[in-house]
Amino acid sequence: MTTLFIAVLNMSITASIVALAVILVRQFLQKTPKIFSYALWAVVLFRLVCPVSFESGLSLIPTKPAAIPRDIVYSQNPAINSGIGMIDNTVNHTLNSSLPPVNPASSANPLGIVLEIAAFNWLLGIAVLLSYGAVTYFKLRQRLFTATLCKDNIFETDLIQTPFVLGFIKPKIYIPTGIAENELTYIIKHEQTHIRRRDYLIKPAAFLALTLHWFNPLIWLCYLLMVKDMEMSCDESVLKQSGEDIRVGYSNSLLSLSVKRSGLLSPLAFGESNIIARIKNILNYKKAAIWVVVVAIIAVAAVAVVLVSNPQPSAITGEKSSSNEVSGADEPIETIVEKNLSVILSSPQESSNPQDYIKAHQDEYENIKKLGGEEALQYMLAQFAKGNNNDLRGQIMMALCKELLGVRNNVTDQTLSPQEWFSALSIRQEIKLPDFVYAGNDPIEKLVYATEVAQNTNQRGFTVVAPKIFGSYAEGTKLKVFVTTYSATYRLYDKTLSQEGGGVVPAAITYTKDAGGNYVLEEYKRAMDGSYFAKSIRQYCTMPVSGKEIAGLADKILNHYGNYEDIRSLHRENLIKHLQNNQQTDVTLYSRSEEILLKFNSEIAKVQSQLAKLEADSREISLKIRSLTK
Amino acid sequence: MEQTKLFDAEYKFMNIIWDLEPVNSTELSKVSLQKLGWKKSTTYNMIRKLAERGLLKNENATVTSLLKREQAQKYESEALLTKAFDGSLPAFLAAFLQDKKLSRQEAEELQKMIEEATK
Repeated sequence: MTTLFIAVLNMSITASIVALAVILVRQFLQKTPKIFSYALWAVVLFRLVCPVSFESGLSLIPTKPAAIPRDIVYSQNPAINSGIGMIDNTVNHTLNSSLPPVNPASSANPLGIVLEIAAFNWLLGIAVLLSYGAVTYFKLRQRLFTATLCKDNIFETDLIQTPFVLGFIKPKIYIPTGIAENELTYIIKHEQTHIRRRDYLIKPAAFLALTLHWFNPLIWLCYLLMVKDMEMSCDESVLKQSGEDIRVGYSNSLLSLSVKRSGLLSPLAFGESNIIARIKNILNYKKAAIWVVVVAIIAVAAVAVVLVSNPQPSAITGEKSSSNEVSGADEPIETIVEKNLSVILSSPQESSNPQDYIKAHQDEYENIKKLGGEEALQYMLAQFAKGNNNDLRGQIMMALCKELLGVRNNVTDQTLSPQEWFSALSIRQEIKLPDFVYAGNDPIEKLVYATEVAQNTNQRGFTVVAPKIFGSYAEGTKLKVFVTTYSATYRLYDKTLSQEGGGVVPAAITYTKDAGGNYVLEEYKRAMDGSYFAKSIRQYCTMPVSGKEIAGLADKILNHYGNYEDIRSLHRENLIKHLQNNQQTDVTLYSRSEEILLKFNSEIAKVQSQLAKLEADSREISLKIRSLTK
Repeated sequence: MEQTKLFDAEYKFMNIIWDLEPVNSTELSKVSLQKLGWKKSTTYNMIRKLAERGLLKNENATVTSLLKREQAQKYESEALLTKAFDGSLPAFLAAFLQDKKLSRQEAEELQKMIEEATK
């Protein structure tokens, strides 16, 4: 449900941009026949219901098609990527500050809960709108049962005020009783044009698209404008069809209809501004010159193409391929760093502790890290190379550099001054390794390792997996294997390994034998999160073809998940083997928890040695006392 | 009577009954389909509703009207007179005769009716 909601949100964003563009273009088309404005709404409709489109260099859409990533709820740092820096920064900043911190142990972040609630409300809104539409439709139909046939598909009844078309399969025209003969012809022609253009299908379809996006007020506006354009272009079509100049007669019938509707003989009741606009349009109508028509057609076609297609990735400026997500900055890196540094240095003036300054200006500090990233690091290192950076500014730059370098910083001495730190710095270089490859002979293990590595691989480093295979079941041409895999992704800097991510996930993998007799991956079903964990596992513990439940399997998998020491040690083994195979020896694994553990252990060792000394002392003293009392 | 106010559809339906009565209900629904474009269920519903209001009766699948054409016409014209001419018959006639002329026969009929009414 949430993924669907996210897809609709993305569509709404793109559609809104298209809608704004169409509204703008419509202004220019005011003097042209309304059919062109009406045609443009088709693009908006397309964007409202179709989440994908073809890419074209001609596209004028400034945002990416999936500004809200589909897996945002699983991300450690939930962020949107619309391609427009300013929007991304504002939204991501709000996300960071308003949501509770991400718990790396859980598989879905707090944003997921927010989105689930929002998605639920969204469905509720749709239900309300659809029931309203359905109820009004059926109530109207009820009234029309006793309408009497005039001819063909035209019925009349005194229970309605305005003529209209109703019906999806065999649309019928309904006229109120008591309309003069001459006016009747115009009205019937108008409604028949609606039928010819399939408007009785288009309007409900547009309404359905509107219900999907009921939360977006811009789309409501689009619907109202579209209906206006629909009516007016229909009027124009009637005028075009009729031989003589019927403008006056036609306008008169519109007028008398609206008068009847309001029940008063006073001129147009308020709220009927549409009738005014229609009459104005009719009286001003003249057959458009051919060149106007041609120009309008070209304009509409051009607008449609640039709005229907998605932008190609390189078309978006400021796109960085590094892991730093967002860059809306067109400014040179020097400006970004210096600007933010000067803000940080501005207060609090009384303190000489750089941490106080950093704490007082968290945003600017983060800005340098996020917006500046790798470039900012290089800039600051260049500053250190020039020398003379032992002041407060140098302290802050050192703090930033240490954070940006992360594990690549080999200097652990915290007492060094900035320049001293810099001269001791020898940046650990990353050694890029491939993903783990299974070297054994077991055919099932081969398949599983290959699949798990493929499923878990990512750009953040090389991936090692350790699967526990609960069983493999062959049925017909299919093979289904049940595994729980401990996978982790690492980056190697010189001799230090840093873990970038990982997890333990149960899954059911289905393979199909292909023409050559080899098994190829057909379906990879992961256990779901949270409350659906156990249920989803029970659901997938079935035979691959017959779907029969495999007794006891789900329980085995769930029990194992409570204590997976076996795959943890297998993972360690695999990691060591992998490093050895790639000629990497004497590597230490850096992890924050281990660092804390190490520190803790050294503290304990200190206390233990103190205790031992105390014991030795007290023994000496008691010996001395004994010798004295002898 | 409030019940004799007929909607357009009801009036057209009663017209058929007045022309054909007494009429078999199945026959009636066939004619309604042809003349009014109504489904069978619509016709039967209408028969039921009008029977409830006491305007017709449906016994043994035969429909006869209880409200007669003249009564309905009378009601309609009275309503018209009150609404458009404040109940003034002369005013109505004057308006009616503005564009039309009476034939000799019509004038004689009218004369006779006036004599009867003022007796």
